[in-house]
Amino acid sequence: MAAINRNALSDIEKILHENPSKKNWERVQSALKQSGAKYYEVVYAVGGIKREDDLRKSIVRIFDSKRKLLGELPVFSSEKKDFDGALYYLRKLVQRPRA
Amino acid sequence: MIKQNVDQLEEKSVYVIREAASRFKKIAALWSMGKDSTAMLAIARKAFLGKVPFPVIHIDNGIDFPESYKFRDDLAEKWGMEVIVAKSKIKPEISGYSCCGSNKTVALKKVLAEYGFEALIVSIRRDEHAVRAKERYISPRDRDFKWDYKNQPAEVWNSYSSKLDNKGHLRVHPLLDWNEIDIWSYIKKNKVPINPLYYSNNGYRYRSLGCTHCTVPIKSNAKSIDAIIKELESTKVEERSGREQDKEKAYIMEKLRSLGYM
Repeated sequence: MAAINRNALSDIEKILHENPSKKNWERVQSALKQSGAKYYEVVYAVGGIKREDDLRKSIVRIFDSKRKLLGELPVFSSEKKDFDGALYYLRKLVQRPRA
Repeated sequence: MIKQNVDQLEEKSVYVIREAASRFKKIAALWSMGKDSTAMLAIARKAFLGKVPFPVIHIDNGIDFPESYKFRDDLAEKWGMEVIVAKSKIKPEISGYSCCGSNKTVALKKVLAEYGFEALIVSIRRDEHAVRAKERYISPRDRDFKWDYKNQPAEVWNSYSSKLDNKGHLRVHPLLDWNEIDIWSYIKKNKVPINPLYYSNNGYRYRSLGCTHCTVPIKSNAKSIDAIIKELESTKVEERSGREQDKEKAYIMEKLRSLGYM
């Protein structure tokens, strides 16, 4: 398994957008910490969440301490038939302060 | 909002929790990491010499605030609580609250069936919503989690019925007579840990906490409990006005409760 570049959220984005499994979410935890990520902001699909697909269309934006956008991650984790929200894996972050 | 005597309220809540724990062998408490359920657990610790002697259930739809998850794990470790995480799935049911409603009820039914709980301690208050005002301290639910709110046992002279005829379960509501200011006064007096989302961050804070999808913050500069209490003393806005599900009409809320949703 290739090492994750601990200073680039882009690697984490790629891993999770390709396969947001629980294993991958766990795998990126230390890299997420090293990436400088501090804030999150959830952006839900237009029209709200009515079905599983709406959650797949939603994203969570990740910002550093200076509120610079580092990247966007999925809001869910899934493998085979198992589908869950994944905001638990961002529990080391805090919500982005509003302007 | 009228401030009540929190010592008297606490005394009654301790009595209700102890009564429930003594009557039911298998009992658990629901915890949303909000201020009410956390205060209830603090009261339970007082009732049982610093311990929460029953499991605590978190119904998790996966899109709670990350701060809430961290708060859950940190406090569970600090207070030595057994936390059962019941996963609820997001599915389309009724417009406006597809991630709550019957989905959370399904998750709760599964946990009750798996663990065999006879009673659940739930931290609702009568002042939160007109429908909740009809609740009893100990309130029966049938096997389908339905609530017959028109046919409830009388509760006179602090005497609570724990009879269950229909293989359902009982809901225990120790905080029924508390109001929002009482909860904050209790938290302040007893230094109860609280979810940081309740405090102001850049001019906004959460007055009521649900999941990230259905909860919106309010404009507020309250960064301390004293500031929150002062704010509440003059507010004319309902506590749950920032919760999308409660913007539905009151009769839909009643329907939800009658179906078993808290």
